[in-house]
Amino acid sequence: MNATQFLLNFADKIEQKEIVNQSTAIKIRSYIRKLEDSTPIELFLIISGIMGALFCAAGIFSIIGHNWDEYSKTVRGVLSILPAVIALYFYYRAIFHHPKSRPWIEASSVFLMLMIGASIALVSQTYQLDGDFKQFIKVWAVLTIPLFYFARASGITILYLGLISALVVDVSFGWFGIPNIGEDENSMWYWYLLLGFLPHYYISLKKKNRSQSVRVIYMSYVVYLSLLLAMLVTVKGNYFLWIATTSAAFYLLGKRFMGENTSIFGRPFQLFGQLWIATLLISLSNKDWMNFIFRNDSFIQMFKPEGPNSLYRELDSELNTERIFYFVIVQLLMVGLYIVYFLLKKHFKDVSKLVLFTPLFLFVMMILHEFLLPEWMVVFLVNAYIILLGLNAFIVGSENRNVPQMIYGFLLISILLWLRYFDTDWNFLVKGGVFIGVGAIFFLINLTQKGKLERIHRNKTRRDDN
Amino acid sequence: MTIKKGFFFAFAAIIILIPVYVAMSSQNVLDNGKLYKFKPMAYDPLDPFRGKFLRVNYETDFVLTKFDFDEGETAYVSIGVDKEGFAFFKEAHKSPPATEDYLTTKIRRSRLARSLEDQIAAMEEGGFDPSKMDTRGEVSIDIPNNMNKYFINEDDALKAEKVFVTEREHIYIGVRILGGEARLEDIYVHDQPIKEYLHK
Repeated sequence: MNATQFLLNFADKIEQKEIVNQSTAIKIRSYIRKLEDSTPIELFLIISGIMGALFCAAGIFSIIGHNWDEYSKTVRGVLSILPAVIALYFYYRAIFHHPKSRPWIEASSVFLMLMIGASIALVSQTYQLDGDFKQFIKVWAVLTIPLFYFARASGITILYLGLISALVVDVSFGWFGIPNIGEDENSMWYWYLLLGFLPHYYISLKKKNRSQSVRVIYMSYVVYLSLLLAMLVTVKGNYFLWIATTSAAFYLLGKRFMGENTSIFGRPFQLFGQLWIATLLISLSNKDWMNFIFRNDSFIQMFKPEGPNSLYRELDSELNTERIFYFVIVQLLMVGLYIVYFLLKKHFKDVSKLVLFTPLFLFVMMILHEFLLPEWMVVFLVNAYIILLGLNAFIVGSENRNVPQMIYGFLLISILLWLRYFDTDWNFLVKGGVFIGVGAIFFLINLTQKGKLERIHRNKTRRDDN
Repeated sequence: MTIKKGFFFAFAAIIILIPVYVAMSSQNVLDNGKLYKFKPMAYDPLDPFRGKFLRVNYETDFVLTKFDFDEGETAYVSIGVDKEGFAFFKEAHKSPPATEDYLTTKIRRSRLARSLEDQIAAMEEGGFDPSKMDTRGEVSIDIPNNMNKYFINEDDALKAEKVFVTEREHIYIGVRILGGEARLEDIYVHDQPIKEYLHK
């Protein structure tokens, strides 16, 4: 028995026992029925529809694989449009006869997308076209774009972005089958084709309130992973600034559009953005690691290629030009991010400034590390920043009753404590003093927050009803 | 609603026209292109991924050229026919040759011609006329598009592969070429299309 049925029975029961009168019971029942959420069953129908479309499409691909070469080329050439025509028929039925039915639209879109590919595959099989695979993907992807706008289908997002991601990543197999991942020569096409998809995503994202449906969350995961992959292979150099800047940008975007989703997994941009930023900062919090990273990844190394132990040492001018190009882009991104934030401040709620300004912080740290401050000061600043980040998450999480955020803050600080306890080679007495000092701060925080718990306990035992 | 229908039918027309266009342009090459007979070099086992097919390789090394090519550069390769009537990749050009049939491909490797090395050695020994020297280099090219896969019915694939081994000397690949486009017409075994040969 589901919850709605249970509540309806309960309403019947309290009516029978005359706790409420008949008219109130009718009101209660209609209210309960109105509350019932259709999302889970609709989602079930959409997913089973898509599954049906996927299996049918796979079956059709397999039948094509048989290769019906006992018929003449002309017959087979004409028949090759058959899969597309059949799928177009279903799609036509969906968007003109069932325009309100999401399961119909999603399933027929998936089917049509795959059948467009099937038709092209069939004609190339007939005419022995081994063809250029990337060319095939481009045609296929361009033909898929209208499906996002005719009926706002979203299920095909993963297929589409997966398809165009193949344009940006070039996987080749070297000796012993070790895969070698690099940038494909068609990578610009990825960005063009992504531009074809983004308006659909943006229209879905843009709403009055800041909570999002399963559909948008699913698309956000796919968009994030696809973009991450594309950036990993296209960007050359300055990885720390790139990751920090894009993470902060995604974090801001998430705050703007999905700030009110209750679960952290319903806010993918915040989840990934904060995880990346915590990872970056932790990896910079040790002196040796920081020296290693800044020696290899700081933008300053770009301008002094003869650095003692630098990956930039090889004076490959073409590579260095690319690095400078991507450095300029990341700087523009960073400036754009802060301009957007300050101009449209009222649209962003509860933004953690610490997360948002991490890229700027890293940028300043790179300069300080190279020119102005001794190493230990920079390391100290980074560690202080992490403590602040953790404390902030901890306190804000407690205020908003957000347990995952509190755990995140707690974990961040404990990881830091654990690392620093083992890798700092200070005098034991000094180290002990500092650690006890930090511990004392936590107890102080505890004291100031104790009142809240006591108030809640008092409220619980208050008796208003007599 | 009518505008949306208009868009839908335009979209549907494009989806249908693309395979039709590919089919018609291929048919055009097959009908009007000149037939060349290539000798296959070697063959790979088949791959059951996109339907079964035979992979056909050609002699793509030692293509002569007058130009300096970088690896990966686009080249236009003219087609020659030898005394026995078999076609080969004759010479790589930087722009499409006007009078001969050609195919577009990419340079895989560029190197000094072996014959050129021999001639330089001969020149150092003396007794060689430099004005008659063939200064053309040699390149290796990728197989041009649409020439190296022969999609075949799943029931015939295994038999065809065996024929490739046993009748190796009597096989040639019929390729039609028109305006820089190639279409693999058929694989011939003893001058018969492979399909007929298998079902004889």
